[in-house]
Amino acid sequence: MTAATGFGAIVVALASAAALVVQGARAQWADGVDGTATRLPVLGLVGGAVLAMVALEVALLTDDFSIEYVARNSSIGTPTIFKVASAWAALEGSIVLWGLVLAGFTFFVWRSVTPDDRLGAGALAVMGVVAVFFFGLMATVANPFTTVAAAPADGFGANPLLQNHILMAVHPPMLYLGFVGLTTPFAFGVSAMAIAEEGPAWLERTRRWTVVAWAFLTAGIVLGGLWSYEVLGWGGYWAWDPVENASLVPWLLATAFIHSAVVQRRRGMLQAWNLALVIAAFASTILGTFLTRSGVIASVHSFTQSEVGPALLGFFGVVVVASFALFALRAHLVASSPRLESLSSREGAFLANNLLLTLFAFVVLVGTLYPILVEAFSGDEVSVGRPFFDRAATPLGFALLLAMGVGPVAPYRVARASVLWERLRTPVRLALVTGAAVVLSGVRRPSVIVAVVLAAFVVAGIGRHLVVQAGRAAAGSERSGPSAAWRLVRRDPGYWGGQLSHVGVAVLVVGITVSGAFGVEREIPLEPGGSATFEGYTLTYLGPFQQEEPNRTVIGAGIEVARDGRVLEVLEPRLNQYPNQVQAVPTPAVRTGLTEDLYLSLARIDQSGVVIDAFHYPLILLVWIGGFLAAAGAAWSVLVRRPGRDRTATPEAARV
Amino acid sequence: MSETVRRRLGAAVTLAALAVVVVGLFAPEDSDEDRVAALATRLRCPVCQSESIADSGSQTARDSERLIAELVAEGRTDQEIVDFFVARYGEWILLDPPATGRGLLLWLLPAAGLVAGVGAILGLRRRAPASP
Repeated sequence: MTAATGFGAIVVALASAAALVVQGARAQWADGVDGTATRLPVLGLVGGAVLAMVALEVALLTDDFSIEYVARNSSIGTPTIFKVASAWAALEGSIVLWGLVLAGFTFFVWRSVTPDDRLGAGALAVMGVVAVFFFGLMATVANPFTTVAAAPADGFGANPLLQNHILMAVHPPMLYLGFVGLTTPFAFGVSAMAIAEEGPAWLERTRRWTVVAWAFLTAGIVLGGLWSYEVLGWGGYWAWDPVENASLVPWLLATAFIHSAVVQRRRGMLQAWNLALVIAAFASTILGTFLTRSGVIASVHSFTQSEVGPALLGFFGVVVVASFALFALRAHLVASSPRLESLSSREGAFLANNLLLTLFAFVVLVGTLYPILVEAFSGDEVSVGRPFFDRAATPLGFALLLAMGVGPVAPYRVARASVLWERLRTPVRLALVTGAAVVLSGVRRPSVIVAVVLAAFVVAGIGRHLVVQAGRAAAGSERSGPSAAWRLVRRDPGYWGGQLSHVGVAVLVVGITVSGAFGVEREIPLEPGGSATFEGYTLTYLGPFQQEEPNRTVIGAGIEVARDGRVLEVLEPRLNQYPNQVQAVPTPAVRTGLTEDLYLSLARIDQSGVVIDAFHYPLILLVWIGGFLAAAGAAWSVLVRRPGRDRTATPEAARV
Repeated sequence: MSETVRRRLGAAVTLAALAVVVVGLFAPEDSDEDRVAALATRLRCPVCQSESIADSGSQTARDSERLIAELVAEGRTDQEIVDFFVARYGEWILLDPPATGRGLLLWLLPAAGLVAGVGAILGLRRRAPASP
């Protein structure tokens, strides 16, 4: 019954999506656009998507093992929270979630469509095409409601990696909101090309959604890193794994787009480039899903393998060929004439930003695909890993920080050297003094010194700009400095939200560089009652413990952590044994501090003692703080409404 | 303090700080431990899916790391140690393919991307009409 309802819902959504394509396209091309023609298809799409998800959840919560997906990904003993999360923990269910999120975005786009709105109607048609593909997948090769003739008495149980940490229930939906959110600017971009509409209307209408998608994508990637760190027990958070790269490439392209969109809105430049970027960003989300979900790359994340792979690859091909064919035919019609007056200007900094970000995305893509292509064409196995990506990411990241420090305070059109120096003098001085302090404190790692100098440059530049602007505003009124600064930040959330994201990225880079350069790992064997010293800590093995939980058996070691003769706490790194997997899943114990983390992972345990993998990372907390600040900046820029009467006035910061 | 004195003082502080930073940048320390760690990130763990020797927790990776440490202690150069591993496992062991033969593509493509990008931006500048 549940299976029939769920599959029926998918069919309804599929049919509605197809109707949306037809009605949207008709509305775009008909002389008089009928705004109501798309209502039924959109409501059908949303209703079908919601019902499909509800049916899947009901099936999981009622232990309906006649449905193959439930039997494979849940069991009677699975805790309720993981039954709920199992709805998107495996391939078929994750596509249901994708469809639901897409239906949600389609609904919001539909609400913004007015009568005679050819651009919006076309965008709905494009979103309909994407929805046809995903609901088509669910109706055919990735049907989550496939039933089995003889229902087993119990299911196989949820994925151990999912059950091991709650973050695995949160991280994928976040990423999906980001990935799918990039469909909106893509749909408007394609629609604008289809009707050869000039001007930044498509950008204006999708700006908020792009930033929303970016915020979720950022938060999703950071949560993924946190999950990897807190769960996998290898001591790191980013491995340049193909699946991680698959989320980074869309992030880089979306970041480039957010910046180049500003240039088009402010100065009318880069129209064609923006169209190319949204196509590339959307296509990269499909390619990323293909890499993640097809099992084409042997990777720790690719839990699944199925014939969905060829379908995704085919859709990726269609998207790329069709979009860029349209781009080749129409881009010159919508393209603006470039009017770059000087490379030394805000536009110049944006161009540098775009060059660096797209190059970064390109390098990551090449490094990720290279082993697959070599294997496909020659059968040889080659590896591309961290050294390759680090070597590319380091200079590109540093150059981006430099552009980030100069760009936001550079004037549009032409930035005279004297003006630039006037604004950059103080940040440069503060950055160099900070760098000198770091060197004098004994740090000799070039990467750390450069990262600190550049991050200080970025943060000081933003701080100086805020202080100067607030001072100017305060001088003209009776407000105090801080009150004027607060008002400024609220008046122009787009600019200052962006600056908050910049601070986040600067903090993130310092965290990555410092924890990477000074991180220490040591394998420590300990007998019961024995101790060892590690980076100033004394670790004492108190003894093993074992506990039975409903869904797993936990074996752990009590490790007393002391420093300078004072006991700080007892850390309990564990190994979790799940009935449906032979290999135990570790749960490392992390003592997180403001300045450093002590990270203990249980490598081996038996009667004679334990082997602990101990890690010590200075300043790694900055990675998470920086990442979430970046996402928070984006949230600020879309959530805060400008106060007061002059909502349409040109914000101050943009005019400098 | 007069304006001139203050400005000169500021410039002096900036220059001194710059000097310290530059000296710090060009006086890197490179211990044996650093070399072992660097080599362990460049070599793939032979029994894992896509992890380096440094990242993997497997026994084979541990043994390989110990082997690298021994070779470093014997006074072998980085190149000799890398060659040793390539001879043993094939080119597959390198997480950073050398820039020769087929691996050259990995270097040329990004370089070509950079050249194309810079060219496009300079082209944008040239085509631009003089400012009104």
